[in-house]
Amino acid sequence: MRILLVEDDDILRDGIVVGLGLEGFEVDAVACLADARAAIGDHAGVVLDIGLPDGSGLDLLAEWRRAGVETPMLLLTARDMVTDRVDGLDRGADDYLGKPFDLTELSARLRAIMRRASGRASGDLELGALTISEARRSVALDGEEIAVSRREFAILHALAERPGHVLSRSQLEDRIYGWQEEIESNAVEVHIHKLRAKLGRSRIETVRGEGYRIIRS
Amino acid sequence: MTALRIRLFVLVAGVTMLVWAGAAGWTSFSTRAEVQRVLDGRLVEAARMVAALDVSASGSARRPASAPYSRQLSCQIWSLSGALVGQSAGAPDAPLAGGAPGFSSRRIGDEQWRVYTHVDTARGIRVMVGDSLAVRQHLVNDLMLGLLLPAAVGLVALAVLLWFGVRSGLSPLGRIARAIELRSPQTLEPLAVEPVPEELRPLVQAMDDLLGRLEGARRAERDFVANAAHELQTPLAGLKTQAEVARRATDPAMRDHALERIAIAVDRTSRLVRQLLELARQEGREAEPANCFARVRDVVNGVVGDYAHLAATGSRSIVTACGLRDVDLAIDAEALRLALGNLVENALHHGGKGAVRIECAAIDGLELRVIDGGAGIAAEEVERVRRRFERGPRAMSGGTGLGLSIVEAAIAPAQGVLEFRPDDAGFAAVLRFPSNRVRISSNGAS
Repeated sequence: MRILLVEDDDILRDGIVVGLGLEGFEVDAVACLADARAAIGDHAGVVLDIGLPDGSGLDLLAEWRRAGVETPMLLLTARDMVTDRVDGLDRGADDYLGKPFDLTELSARLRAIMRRASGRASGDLELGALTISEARRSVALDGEEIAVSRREFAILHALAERPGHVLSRSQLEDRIYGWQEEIESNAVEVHIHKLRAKLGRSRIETVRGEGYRIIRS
Repeated sequence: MTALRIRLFVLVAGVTMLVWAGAAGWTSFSTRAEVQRVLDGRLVEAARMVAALDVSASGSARRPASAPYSRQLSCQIWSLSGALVGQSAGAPDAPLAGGAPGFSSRRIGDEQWRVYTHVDTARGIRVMVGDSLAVRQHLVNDLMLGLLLPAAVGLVALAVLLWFGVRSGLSPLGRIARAIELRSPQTLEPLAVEPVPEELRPLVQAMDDLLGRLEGARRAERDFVANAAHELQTPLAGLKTQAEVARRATDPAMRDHALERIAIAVDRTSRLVRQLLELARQEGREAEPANCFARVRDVVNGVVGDYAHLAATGSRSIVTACGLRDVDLAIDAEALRLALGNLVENALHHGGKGAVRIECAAIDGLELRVIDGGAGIAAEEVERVRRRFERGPRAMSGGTGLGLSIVEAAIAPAQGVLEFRPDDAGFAAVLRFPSNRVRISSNGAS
């Protein structure tokens, strides 16, 4: 799950990048509005600070919403003011979090807004015998927990969010890798291969020339 | 309020009473004198009249008695030889007066008499007509009572009217007092009491002005506290996040990195707190008297010493061009050092590369310029960076956005102003003080 973080304080930014990394997110981080405008892309979510050196995050939020960006967004507010929060929500934020906050709460709220964006209410994805828990980042088959790596989980989660829907290799890469990371050309294939070994061959289908999809069973 | 009302009432009522008592006294005195004169005239007339009448008839003169002025006059007719020829009913038997003609007074028994004696030598009689003084007094008293009683009743009515008059006259004061009473201590809006009499307008105006200033000060304080809290939230969030990362880190490198960040965040946070305290301290200073002087050159040298280390760590240097050896500035030396130091620190952090230069110039007052080789701040950015907690667009992480506010607060008591202007060598932040704060010693020049 790749998200974009817009925060100007370098220590907090670094903390969130590393902390959300521990929670299974890939975080692209920028420090100002101008960089954020350039960076927004195929992110599953955005964490946006309000007070930025070149303007207000609230303005950027409104700008993005006007431009049709539908990525779920969470505001970080230092001003614990009702008006700010209301303003933020009215301008199209999906949630807000006052500083300082718990990393676990930030990641839970991020997962929640991304889940709502994909039209689901529960934090668990169930596909027949397969259960994927977002909060615990665990995968179970017939009630039996199966160990998966962070990337494997991200790919499985991306596919399981929309069963039957085909995701291309580059779409999957976008979902699981940050900008700075070197991606080996066959990385996605390797992860898919390992997942098939753990979950059974038939669960993830290859659609030749298009990508992969998960079978609703 | 009540005290004022009573005071005003007592004053007005007292003065009225005094004037009234004076008038009453005067009336009483003049009435009494007039009554005496009229009655004396009557005595004379009566005596002459009796003398002119037939003597024999005088004794039979009877008048019906009528209270309370019955038998007002008593009359005796004596022969010149001293025999009582006749007397009016109720007249005493003893002679009313001695033999001498004209007015006289005599006490007969319990009664005091005022008597006029008329001697008619041609007819050989002496006529004495007397007035009982008690009756006279009674008459005067009745007259006075008739005059003064209505006036006294009027006085009471006047007092009541005065009381209500004073009360309604002071009612605008009452309204203002109530308007103030009814406010909660938090309300600092203008009084909004209308209509206000002309005399009270300055008072209400002054009060509203004061309230306005108080409100402004309170809003500034509230904003400041809110902003300060807000500014602390971000570094605290950073600290908390990094601490959580350190706790959950799976490899030592990650933990070390987080701990290192925590140390930096603590430094920055404590710097922010220090600057907040500094700003609060500078803003709390009173306007300074112009007799506490700081030697400008010493302060400049002090600042160079303070920041030499910071300059060296960034491979920068601080040079001074301050030839004003004998110039003193009426400012607290510590405040000037703080202001200049903040500008030097800004120059070291943001001002490009090369040396930071401190210049002094005594032109039309005193200018202290801190010049760096950087691009400076665009004119349209200047207003923004002056604001509290606002950082420049290229601000370093960890800047508090308070430096310039501290500078302005530190030099304000000495009427100093902070200006920014492009300079040949780069960009200059200028502290300017008016000439009345500058003293140039006469002994020796630089």
